[in-house]
Amino acid sequence: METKFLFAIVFLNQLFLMSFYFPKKIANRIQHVYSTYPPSKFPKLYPMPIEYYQDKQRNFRIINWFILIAGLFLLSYMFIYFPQDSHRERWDQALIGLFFMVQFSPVILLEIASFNLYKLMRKLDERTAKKAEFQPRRLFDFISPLLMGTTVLVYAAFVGFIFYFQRYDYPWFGGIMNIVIISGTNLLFIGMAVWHMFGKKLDPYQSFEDRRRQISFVIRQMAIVSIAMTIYAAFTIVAHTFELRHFGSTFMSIYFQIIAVVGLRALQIDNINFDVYKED
Amino acid sequence: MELIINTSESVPIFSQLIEQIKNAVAKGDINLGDALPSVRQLANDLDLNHNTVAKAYKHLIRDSIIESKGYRGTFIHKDAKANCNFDLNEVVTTKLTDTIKTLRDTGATDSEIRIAFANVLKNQNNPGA
Repeated sequence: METKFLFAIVFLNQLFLMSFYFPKKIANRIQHVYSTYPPSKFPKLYPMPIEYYQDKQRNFRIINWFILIAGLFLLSYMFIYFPQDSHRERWDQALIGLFFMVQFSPVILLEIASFNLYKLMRKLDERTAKKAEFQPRRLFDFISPLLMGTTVLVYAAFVGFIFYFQRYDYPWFGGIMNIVIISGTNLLFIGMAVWHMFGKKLDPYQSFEDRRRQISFVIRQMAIVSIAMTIYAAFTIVAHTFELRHFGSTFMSIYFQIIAVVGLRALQIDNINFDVYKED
Repeated sequence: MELIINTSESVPIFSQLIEQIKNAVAKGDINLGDALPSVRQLANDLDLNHNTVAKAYKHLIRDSIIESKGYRGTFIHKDAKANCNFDLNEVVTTKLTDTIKTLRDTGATDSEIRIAFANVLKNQNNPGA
C-alpha cells in the first residue's frame, strides 16, 4: 500500500516539474527576452514577425496544460490498478516511459522551431566579413577533468558490473546488451559534443564567449545525464535481483525527473551578450 | 585573437588567412609554439570550404610559419617570427622580373617568352612526357 502512495507522490512531482514548473519557466524566459530585448532595438534576434513567437509561446503553454491533464488521468488509472504482478509492473513502466516522452515533446518542438529560426537568421545574414577566434577548442576547456573522469569511471564500473553479473544465470538479465545500449548512448553524446565544439555555429551573431559558455553547458549536461543513465541502469538490475520490482515505476519516475532537471536547465539570460543582435 | 575574412574583397580568401596569421605572429599576438585551431574548426567558424583553410595552412607549413605535429595538431613554428619576413612571392616576382628583362634585352618577344615559360613549366611538371 505504501508503495502505491509513494509512487503517486513521485509521479505527481514528475507531472508538476515537467508539465507545469519547467514549461512555465521556459515561457517566462521567452517573455523576458521579448520585453527586455524588443525587436525594435534588437532586430537581428527576430527573423520572423513577433506574432510568430507569441503563437509558438501560446501553443507551448496549451500543449503543456493538455499533457498535465492527461497525466492526472494516467496517474488516477495507475493508482487504481496499481500492479500486483510483474507483468503489470512492466506495462506500467512502459507507460511512464512513453508519458515522459510525451512530456518532453513540447520542448523538442520548441527546439525544432529555434533550429529553423537560426537557419533563417543565417540566410538573412548579409555580412561579407566573417569572424572567428584563432584559438583551438579542446575538451578540457569545457569540462573539468573531475567530471569527465567521473563519467568515464562510472561507465567503466558499469561494464565491470555487467561482466561480474554475467556469472549468475538470471533469465531476465540482458547481459552484454546493457553495455551496448549505454555505450551507444555515450557514443551519441560524444558525437554531439564534437558537433557542438567543431561544427558550424547555429546562431551567426553569437559572440565567442557565449559560444564557449554554451558548449561548456551542453557538454557538462551530457556528462551528468550519462552518469545518471548508467547508475539507473545498474540500479534497475540490482532492484530486480533483490525483488524490489514493485518500486520499479517509482525509480523510473525519479530517474526521469533527474534527467528533466539536468536537461531543462538553461544559461542565465542576462549573461548573454544581446548587443550582437542590434542594428549595425 | 580573432581572424576576419571578407568575402567581398578581391584578395583570395586563403591569402587573407595567410596574411592575418603572419601579421599576428609578427606582432606577437600569437606566441611561438601556440596551438592553432583545426582546419575543420576554422572552416566551420568562418563558413568556408575546408579546402580553403587547408590550402592556407599548407602554404604556412611550406613557409615554416606553422608546423604540423600529426595527431597532436598544428602549432606556430619556433622560427615563425624570422620566417614571416621572408616573402616567397616577392622573391619569385623579383627573379622573374630580372629574367624577363634579360630575355627582352636579347630580343625575345613577350609571346615567345610566354610560350617558352609555359613549355618549361610543363616539362618540369612531367619530365617523362
